[in-house]
Amino acid sequence: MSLLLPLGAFAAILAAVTFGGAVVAAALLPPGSTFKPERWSWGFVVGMSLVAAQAAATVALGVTPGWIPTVGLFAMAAALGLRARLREIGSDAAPQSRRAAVLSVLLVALLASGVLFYLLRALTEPMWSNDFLAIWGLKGKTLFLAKRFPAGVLAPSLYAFSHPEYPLGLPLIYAGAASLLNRWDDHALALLFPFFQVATLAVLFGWLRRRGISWPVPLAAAALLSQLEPLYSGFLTGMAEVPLSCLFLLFGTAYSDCLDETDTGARRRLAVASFLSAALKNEGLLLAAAGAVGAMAARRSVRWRVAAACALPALAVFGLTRVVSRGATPRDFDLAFLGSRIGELPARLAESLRVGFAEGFRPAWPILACLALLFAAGRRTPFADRLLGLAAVCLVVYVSIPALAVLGPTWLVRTTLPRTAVALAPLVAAGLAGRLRD
Amino acid sequence: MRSVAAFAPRELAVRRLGGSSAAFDRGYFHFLESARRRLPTGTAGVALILKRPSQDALHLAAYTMAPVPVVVFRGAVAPGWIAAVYGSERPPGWKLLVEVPGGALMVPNASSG
Repeated sequence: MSLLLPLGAFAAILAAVTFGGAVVAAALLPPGSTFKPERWSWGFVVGMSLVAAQAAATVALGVTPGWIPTVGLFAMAAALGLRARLREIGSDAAPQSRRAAVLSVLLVALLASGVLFYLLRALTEPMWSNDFLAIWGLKGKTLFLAKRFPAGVLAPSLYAFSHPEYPLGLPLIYAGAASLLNRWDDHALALLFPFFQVATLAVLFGWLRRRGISWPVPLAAAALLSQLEPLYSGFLTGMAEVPLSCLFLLFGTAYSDCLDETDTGARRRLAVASFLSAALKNEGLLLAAAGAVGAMAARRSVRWRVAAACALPALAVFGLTRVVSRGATPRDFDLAFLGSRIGELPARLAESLRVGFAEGFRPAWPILACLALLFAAGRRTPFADRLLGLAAVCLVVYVSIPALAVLGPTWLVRTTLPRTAVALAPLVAAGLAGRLRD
Repeated sequence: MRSVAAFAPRELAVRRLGGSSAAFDRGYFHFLESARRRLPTGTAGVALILKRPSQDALHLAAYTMAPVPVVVFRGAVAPGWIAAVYGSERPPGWKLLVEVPGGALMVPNASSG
């Protein structure tokens, strides 16, 4: 079968899933045009989460995944979502400043070209990166074809390279989507990733507008982010970073909204984003922990509820993952470096920082210098600074944690730091742009 | 664009064959995909016999054969498993199940382990 037919079918499926998810998202975002771009992003993310949940539930129950359980799950979720829908908060779109038509056209063209270039990179060939073959795609294909959880099919003793301890969010998305497509097509499924890119750009634009950042900053931020090839690359298509970067942004914006009590749905959004971030990758647990600690340190009456919304859903995912993976533990790290071998830790930490600086930061210095200038050009803005704080905590951990790597800090820095760090880009973009308010 | 235009009308396996994941040895992917299509029903697993085993070769085989488990051959083939032999050499005394492009599917005789 050629590419076009399954690709067209999958595009229609993703559109339907987004519409269905948008109905469910009525429980997360108040109605009104202020939330419109974010509503579509949440609609896509919630919709894909329901598709993944359908795959998990059918595999667990031993029934065949596909359209019937998916439609049933969407109907139940929509009924619950509409029952719990949020009321109008009386706001409408942020005041529009006068726009320069030429600049608008240029920025929209830049944004559109970023989306189109990524579409091309993502769809040039079936998903191909090594981690897609060895981890994410392998588990998704196993879930779809064997209709069993990977731990029951791929013996951990033989498949340690597939990281049995990783959460199953992305493989479940693949399996659920393949059940709707009725075939395993690892080329058509790549369309998921440009959809995640568009969802990220929409929430970036929408959140900045809702928070009163005046034109053209939100559009420029989205247009520049769309061009970030290290994130929106063929290599990362198939891996967890692109969806994770979207969820990190959803988490960060909901977290900031929650602390500022912007609307009654913020805490629900935060809890959902925490759950989904942790379900995609272990870095989601780190973000949830950073959010919980940050919330507890905030001088706000809501701090304990915000901390709970950050931590509890992620902990639930952690527990579920332990059960489904049959207690598999991370194999890349040796906690003895925090115990009996702690004497080696300073040298290993120094090696992590040295390699991280030499191979991660030094080659990117012009971009980092631009980011520093943008930071300096802005001004203190708590709702945006929180996102930068979350990104900074994650980055510090990403640079330090290779000190615990079994195969040595240099190996882990080289294999993971660039791609885990670049997944923080949407958070950083939102934080920097939020500081550029009038 | 040229690559997409050239490969989009072809079947999925051909698109992977022409892509990056098979670039380290396109003949190897041809062999794997041919072997996958000829696996006997109920095969419990596949032991790969390769001249030069590598992580890339194992990962591509594991993905291509999934959900059938794959290991690199280390002296014995478990009961119910079969050997996928890449290349022209054949383990002596083993039973040939089928020749495929680039190799063969085989099982050890009871005495050859």
